[in-house]
Amino acid sequence: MPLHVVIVGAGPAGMAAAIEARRRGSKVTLLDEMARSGGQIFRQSAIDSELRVGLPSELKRKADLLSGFNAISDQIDYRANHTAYALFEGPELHVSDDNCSEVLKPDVVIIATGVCERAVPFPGWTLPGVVNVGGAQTLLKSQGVKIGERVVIAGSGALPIAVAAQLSKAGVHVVAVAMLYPMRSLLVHPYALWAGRRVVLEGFSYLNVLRQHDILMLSRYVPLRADGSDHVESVQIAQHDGTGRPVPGTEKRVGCDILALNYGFTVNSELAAMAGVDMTYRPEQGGWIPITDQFCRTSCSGVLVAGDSGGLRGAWVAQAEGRIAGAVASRYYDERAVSNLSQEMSQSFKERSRHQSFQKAMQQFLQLPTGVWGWADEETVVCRCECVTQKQIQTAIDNGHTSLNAIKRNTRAGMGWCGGRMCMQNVAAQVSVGKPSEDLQPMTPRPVARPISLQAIRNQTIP
Amino acid sequence: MNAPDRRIRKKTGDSFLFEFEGRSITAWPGETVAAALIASGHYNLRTAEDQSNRGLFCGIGMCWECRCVVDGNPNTRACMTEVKPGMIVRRQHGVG
Ligand SMILES: Cc1cc2nc3c(=O)[nH]c(=O)nc-3n(C[C@H](O)[C@H](O)[C@H](O)COP(=O)(O)OP(=O)(O)OC[C@H]3O[C@@H](n4cnc5c(N)ncnc54)[C@H](O)[C@@H]3O)c2cc1C
Ligand code: FES
Repeated sequence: MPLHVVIVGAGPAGMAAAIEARRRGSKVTLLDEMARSGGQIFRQSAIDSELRVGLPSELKRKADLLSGFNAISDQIDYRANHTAYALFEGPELHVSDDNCSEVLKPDVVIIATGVCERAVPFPGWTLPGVVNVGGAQTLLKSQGVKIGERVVIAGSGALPIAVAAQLSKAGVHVVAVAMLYPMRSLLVHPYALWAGRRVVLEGFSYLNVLRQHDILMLSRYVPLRADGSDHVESVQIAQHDGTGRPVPGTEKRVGCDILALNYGFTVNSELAAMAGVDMTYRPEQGGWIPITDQFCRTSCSGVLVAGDSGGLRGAWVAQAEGRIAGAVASRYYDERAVSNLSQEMSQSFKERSRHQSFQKAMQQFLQLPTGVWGWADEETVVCRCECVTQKQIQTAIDNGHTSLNAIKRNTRAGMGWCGGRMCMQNVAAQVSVGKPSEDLQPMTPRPVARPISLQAIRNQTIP
Repeated sequence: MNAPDRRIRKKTGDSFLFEFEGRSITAWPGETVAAALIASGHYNLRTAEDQSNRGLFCGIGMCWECRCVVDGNPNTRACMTEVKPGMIVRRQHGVG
């Protein structure tokens, strides 16, 4: 009997998993809350199929994967606009669209839900016009809309540079790019650079675009505050001392109508946590990460994790790992067949580990130095949904509430619409200043990982 | 002052109007509420419980900062909702 494999997330990992599992004869259901497949990096335009944002090499990867996926999409049960909002042992997956919900009881679930971006709080970061870098990119890629006319970018890692280049090419005036670390620190990892050469070359092309557009690149700069009345009008930035603390006397004020931020990512791991998967805390990889073996298996029977939702790994790893997870899922209950896969698919295994060594080197840029936690002042909102300030959280900590659950109960931080996705890593950082953070437990995930409509819960189908 | 148009390519095909805070805004089929508003220079989508203004933040449906009132329904994410002719969009105040 072929196994029924349900995949959550139609990004590179989920699409590759669907192709592979289908090829091996499984019955495949693939769901994504977005209207179109592609995930974050290969997002498709909803309105203009001619819209091309990105480098030729990246667009070719996108076209290849999408055409592979289109070739099988009528042989699988692909559900766009469907959200998975709970996962229990079994595995038992609860999904919904706007009107209906359903309980699925497949043989295997593959979680390929990716990441969302992370920003560090500082005064003014809640002003309209202060956005995530990838949000600005998404608006351009899927909607063909420029986020603003004069954009300042502040962040770390590769995404701010790629997006700065994409925006400039689209005719946006990128006023300045303020990076936490100088990129040249990558040069001490020659092997990793070689292993990730395709990505490195893309990075150079983007830097070249920035040079051609004569864009002000500032290394070791951080945002101090964003100002404006109902919308950001300027941002103050300053050099930092190597630990993230601004150096007095180096402040600059820059006028802008958008400030775009990215200080790393938060993995969408709440479904895994809810199912009881063993997790570990790795801020530079995206917070609480499900622990997996080389076959993407977790501690929970029938639950696999692939791609960025298993820790930030980039699209190349996501795609290779998706193939592996799809194959493993199809043979899940046959241990011998699974262990043979490392031979049978050695190419995918090799590709994954090669790109992983590059990603490891990149992670140094997402290791935030302790000084960044001093950017917020007492009045700065840390939990955006529930308007909980830095001072309120500090008071709870000073009163002895040092677990995230206790802080949540006492301050409401993490209780809002985003489910704690936007603030929990930042609250965790505030709790663990000066303490090792490995033993920090995540907030206990609630049974509804994402807000869904009451009507959808009322209209539930259970097999 | 003319409203800005931040679309990177001149749109062909039929546009339509929707309403934001009593003003008529032009949009094209397939656009999200957030895209149509930002394309015409509107960023301020809601007032939070502490009276601060908020707008689009993550842009991918995860943060819920862009929630506004669409055709009377509060807590509707502007970045995830396709705009329709005649839609009435309002800024959300507090819980809506
Ligand atoms: C905004 C943004 C922009 C990015 N841009 C780039 C870029 O330009 N270049 C680059 O190399 N990397 C980029 N990244 C990093 C990116 O995560 C990876 O490179 C790559 O997309 C990872 O693939 P994936 O398949 O693991 O996850 P993703 O591509 O993130 O796909 C995950 C999918 O799961 C869906 N999903 C999540 N939760 C649920 C749920 N509960 N129910 C249903 N569906 C769900 C999402 O809608 C999404 O489509 C970006 C990340 C973000 C957040
Ligand atoms: S901007 Fe984050 S959900 Fe719309």
